[in-house]
Amino acid sequence: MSSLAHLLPLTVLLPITAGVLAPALFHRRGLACWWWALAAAILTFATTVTLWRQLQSGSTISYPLGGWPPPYGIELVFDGLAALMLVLCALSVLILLAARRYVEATVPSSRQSLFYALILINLGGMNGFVAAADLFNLFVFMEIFSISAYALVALARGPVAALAALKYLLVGAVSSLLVLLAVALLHAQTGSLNMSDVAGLLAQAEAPGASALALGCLVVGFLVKAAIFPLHFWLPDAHASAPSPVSALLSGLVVKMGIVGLVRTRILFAEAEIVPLLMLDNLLVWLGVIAILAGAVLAMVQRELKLMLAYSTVANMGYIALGIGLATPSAVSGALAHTVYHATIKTGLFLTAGSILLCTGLSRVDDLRGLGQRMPLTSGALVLGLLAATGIPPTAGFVGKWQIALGALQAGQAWVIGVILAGALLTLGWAIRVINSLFFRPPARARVITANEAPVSMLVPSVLLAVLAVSAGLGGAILLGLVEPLALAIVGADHDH
Amino acid sequence: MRNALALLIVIVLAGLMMAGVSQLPPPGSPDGAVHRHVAAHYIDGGTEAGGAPNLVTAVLLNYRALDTYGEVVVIFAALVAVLAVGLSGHSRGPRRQPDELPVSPVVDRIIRLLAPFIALFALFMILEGHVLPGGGFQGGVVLGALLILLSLVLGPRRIRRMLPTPALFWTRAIAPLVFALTAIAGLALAGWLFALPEPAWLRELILVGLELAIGIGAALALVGFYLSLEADHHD
Repeated sequence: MSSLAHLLPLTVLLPITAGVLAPALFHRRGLACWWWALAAAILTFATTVTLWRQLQSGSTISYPLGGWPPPYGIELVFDGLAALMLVLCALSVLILLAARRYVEATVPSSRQSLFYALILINLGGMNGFVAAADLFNLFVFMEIFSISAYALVALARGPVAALAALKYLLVGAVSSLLVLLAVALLHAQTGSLNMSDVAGLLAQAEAPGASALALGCLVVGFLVKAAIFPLHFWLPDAHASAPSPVSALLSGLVVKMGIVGLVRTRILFAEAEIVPLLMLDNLLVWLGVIAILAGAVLAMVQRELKLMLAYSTVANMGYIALGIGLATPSAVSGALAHTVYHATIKTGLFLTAGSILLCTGLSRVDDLRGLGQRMPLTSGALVLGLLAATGIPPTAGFVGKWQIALGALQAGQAWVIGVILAGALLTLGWAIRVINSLFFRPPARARVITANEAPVSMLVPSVLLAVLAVSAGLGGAILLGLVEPLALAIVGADHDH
Repeated sequence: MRNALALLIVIVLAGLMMAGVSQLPPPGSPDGAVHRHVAAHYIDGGTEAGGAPNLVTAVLLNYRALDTYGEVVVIFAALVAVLAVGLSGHSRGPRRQPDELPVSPVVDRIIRLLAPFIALFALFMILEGHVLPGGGFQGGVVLGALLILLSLVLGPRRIRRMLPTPALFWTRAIAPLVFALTAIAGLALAGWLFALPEPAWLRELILVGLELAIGIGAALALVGFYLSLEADHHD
């Protein structure tokens, strides 16, 4: 084992320690705290880049904490799935960059350090979650990023945000309890918590009913976290009413943790071969299909920009669930690629929507008429992001959907392609409404006429992510090549169904 | 109608869960999987290898230290969440809080009388946690309960003013910070993050330090929850 492996736990310790120190070091000094948080996030990103290069040059990195070999101690792994950390950290850096002005304008100075502390703790929790190879450890990190996420939603003042945060908290707590119950069930059957160890021992336990219950609890728990229809009902209010940088964080990154949990669950149960996974796959396909259509239709009937984006997240999580459920190599690699691409697109869209909200105070699409003249760069970034969200080639949204469609053909379910196309057309429908309002209608509000272009610290992440969103599809082959081994590992373990 | 439907769903779900759980090995049976695999290994060599006379402590602070670190972070994050969301400090109305809440003189006397003993018991639970059942979380909760009782008697302001705000934040952060320092000490002295280094006295010192930090952190989190709820109540 190379000494570089010691960096793996640091991806958790570094942001969390920085977050814990933030209120102590920077009470009432919001700007200094922002620099501190940004530096910590960049350092964490650099750590993940080093780990990733190590992963590219060799095999997966495993770290036994305290030197205790698994299953006696806790193990962290940096495998293909954990490489998602790279995206988590990179986007968190951009979110923090954009958050400064927003926080200065909306969060009272005595609480700014608490805001940054929660963002950093959230990042550390997500990093730990994607790298966890131990079931209880997975649960602990899920609690860390969940609790910080509830609080971040509630930081936006107002009755809608408070109610949304409460709903998010209650639903999230139920889903966490289901996951905990499943961990207990698996531990009771195997006496172990390490995932690959559990997978090996589960078949010997000869308790298919208890295993099926554990699988069911894990799936429902993670479907809630991933906001897959019909368990998405907490998402639109929470993501739309949160402070915009937080919306970007939740819709871009936190919701993807449910997918990571699902994939880890699927790998474990495919290895254990005690419960047939065909039903799970069919469930994911159907829920995905309904989510794509329902999410797109619901996005279409919204009037508020951020609510449209939130429902579009519901639809896009449907695409990812669909891809995983189809369980062919192309569909799963499409789903994994779409996880990364959607994170990029939606983070950019919410950050851009945040700039508009901060500069104009307006959130309804009809009120934003003519904003293209006053805030051309921000509006342009929004348009590019929306085009990418519809999945027009060669934008980032295209690659995943194309791969999922190919996978549907391989799986012999050609009708799914119709759903994918319908979802894209519906998305195009509301995207055109927004674009039309921004660029081709005369201003209807005085605040649009007096609005100025967003400050540089908000423009840079918005524009960067928008450019990435439309051009990253060109690098689709590279990303698909990177996720392919992981996709094969996910579907390869269960050829027999 | 809705209630009947909800009841039906609950009954069906409960039935499914019961059916699943009924397949588990009966609790307490010595040949259950829980007692054979990892736990048996801890019992065989855990006390010596884990470095703590109490096996539960060995598992919590050594074998599964990362989980305990995570739990400590969860508690800290919950406290930060309550402070960030709570209304206290946000709306300082002209109405001033009463400095002392009306507490019956009997309750007042008894709390004042028992306070030193409760504090001593809390400290005992924290410091002996690695030898006897108990430990930082339990002792911290007792200490936190004591501080809440005292804030009833002395008035919440006296408790609030005990520490200036930055020092208060340092103290609140003590558990995750000491854990992080221990992790790094483990890397420096034993070669692995979160490992407990070798000489027995150093290991014991670190365990006591960890338990103390966990106890103080848990106590302050409890008091923090209570005081911000209390402040909201009066605003």
